Amino acid sequence: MPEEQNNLFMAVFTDEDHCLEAVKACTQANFTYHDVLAPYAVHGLDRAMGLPFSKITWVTFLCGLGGTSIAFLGMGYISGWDWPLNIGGKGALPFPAMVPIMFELTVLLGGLCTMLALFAFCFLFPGKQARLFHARQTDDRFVVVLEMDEDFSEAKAREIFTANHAEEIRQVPHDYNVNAAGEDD
Amino acid sequence: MSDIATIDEPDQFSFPVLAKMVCGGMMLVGLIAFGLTWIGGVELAMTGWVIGAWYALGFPLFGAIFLAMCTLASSGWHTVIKRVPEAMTRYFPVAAVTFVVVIFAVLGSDFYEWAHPHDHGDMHSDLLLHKQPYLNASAFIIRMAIYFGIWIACSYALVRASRKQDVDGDVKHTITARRISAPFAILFGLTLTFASIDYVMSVEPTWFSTMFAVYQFGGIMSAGFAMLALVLIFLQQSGYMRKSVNANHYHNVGIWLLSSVTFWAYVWFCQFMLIWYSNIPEETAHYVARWEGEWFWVSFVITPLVHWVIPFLMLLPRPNKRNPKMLGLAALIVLAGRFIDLWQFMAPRPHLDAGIPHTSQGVWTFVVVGTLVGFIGLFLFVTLKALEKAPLLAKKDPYFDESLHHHI
Repeated sequence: MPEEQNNLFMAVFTDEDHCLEAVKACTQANFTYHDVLAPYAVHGLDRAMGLPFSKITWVTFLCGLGGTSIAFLGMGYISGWDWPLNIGGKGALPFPAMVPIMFELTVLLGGLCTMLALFAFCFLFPGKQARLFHARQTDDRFVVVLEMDEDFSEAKAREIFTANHAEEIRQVPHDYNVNAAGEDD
Repeated sequence: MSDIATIDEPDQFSFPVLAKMVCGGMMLVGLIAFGLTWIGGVELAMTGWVIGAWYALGFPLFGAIFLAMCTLASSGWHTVIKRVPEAMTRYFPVAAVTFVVVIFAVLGSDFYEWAHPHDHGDMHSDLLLHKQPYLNASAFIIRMAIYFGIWIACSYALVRASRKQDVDGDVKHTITARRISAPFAILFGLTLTFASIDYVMSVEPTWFSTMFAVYQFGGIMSAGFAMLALVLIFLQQSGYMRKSVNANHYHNVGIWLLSSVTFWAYVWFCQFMLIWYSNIPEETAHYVARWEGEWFWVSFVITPLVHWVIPFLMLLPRPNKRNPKMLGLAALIVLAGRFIDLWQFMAPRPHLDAGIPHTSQGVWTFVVVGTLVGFIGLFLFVTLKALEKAPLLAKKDPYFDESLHHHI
């Protein structure tokens, strides 16, 4: 039985700096974020939200290491053990000749796995319906969405948002989605 | 928005007496070591001198190209630390004096074999005589004058623009620096290419590599960023730039150091692999001499380990790049790696014996590290002395405020 979900409280900003200042104040006030949405990566936003460092670097590192090993073991098995071939007098296991392929596979697997891990973490897949809190959230608007839980205080939130020049402040249901409501303009 | 008013830290660097004594001690060690290496013969002494002179020349070269690159890219973050590379370029005239000794190595010894070619009637002497139009003493001296002329003129012009800006804060000096940097970047590439051929690659005059200048560039940038990090740490330890330089600036230097050593490793390996693969005798001779015996461990194990693997793994995690202690340790390792790389290139002095390359000097030639200590002492003395001549922070640079707020 899922818990009853909180309503959401959102504010729309027209300026990156105003949004960032509002987020800093919200973090200070100990509010719970549903999400903060911006059309592009805003420098310092994750730090302002109090998010921990991304673990995705470990995915890159380990998958890169995996790529190195796959290349080395694969070539070792194919040309060193399963069907040894002496090419150009270099012997069956020519390590220097393997290095470029090991390097390439490190970069390829490291890069691809990082992208796939990012998609998995963000729950993105082809054909996914976008959930929008504001029709121009992917254009030029910055949206801060707060959970209306026990730490929340509407008066305080309104005060923070108004002080930082929010364009629009409103309370919305927990499954609010501009995209589904067809409010496209 | 400006924090300039809130910076209340010493604006003028004064060279601590203890540091002066350490630099002087290092120079003394270098002088004694250079004297002692004469026991091993003029070639050994010159090996030490050329390694030291080229190693130390890398720092002002790095300083000049770093300033030019940052100016051309309109970079802002480096503004708080730009006095350090500026001071580094002041070593150029002193380096020119140390390279006069290299002219003596050319004229008066067999350190550079091409300087006194003898016609033995074999292919080796044929090749040396064939290379005479480029590799001869007078052309060597003329080229040296051209290189140092370009380096000194461009770096002085860059520093002058920065000094003038200290007075009036006019943005036109930034534009001037940009106008100097663009042609300098091209001239730097050309002069570095020919200089690395003249001073380093021609130690083995019949060997050649088209990657050589790029390989030396990688080494110069690695050692340069390592030295920059160490000088910054020294300045902060002595109580300067405590607030203006923070973890974010160290982070950027760390990123540069990581990418430089990786670039070096890439070129180092490319140069080796292509020669190994194509297997053409006149190219492989250089590596065959280092593949056999004790030099193998130096050239193919210790060099990549110290110059790339260890610093790479140390600098990969983000917190290590932001921690001056870890960054400083990695920088020291890179500086050691740079020496080992140059030493394994210059010291073995291979010769052909019945068509098979042999090395005439063993790994005991590591003693020339003593001479290098002297050169590093000399470089640090000149740089820190030059750092006293101008305010430590370029407060009137248009990018200064951006640099204070640098954040990654």
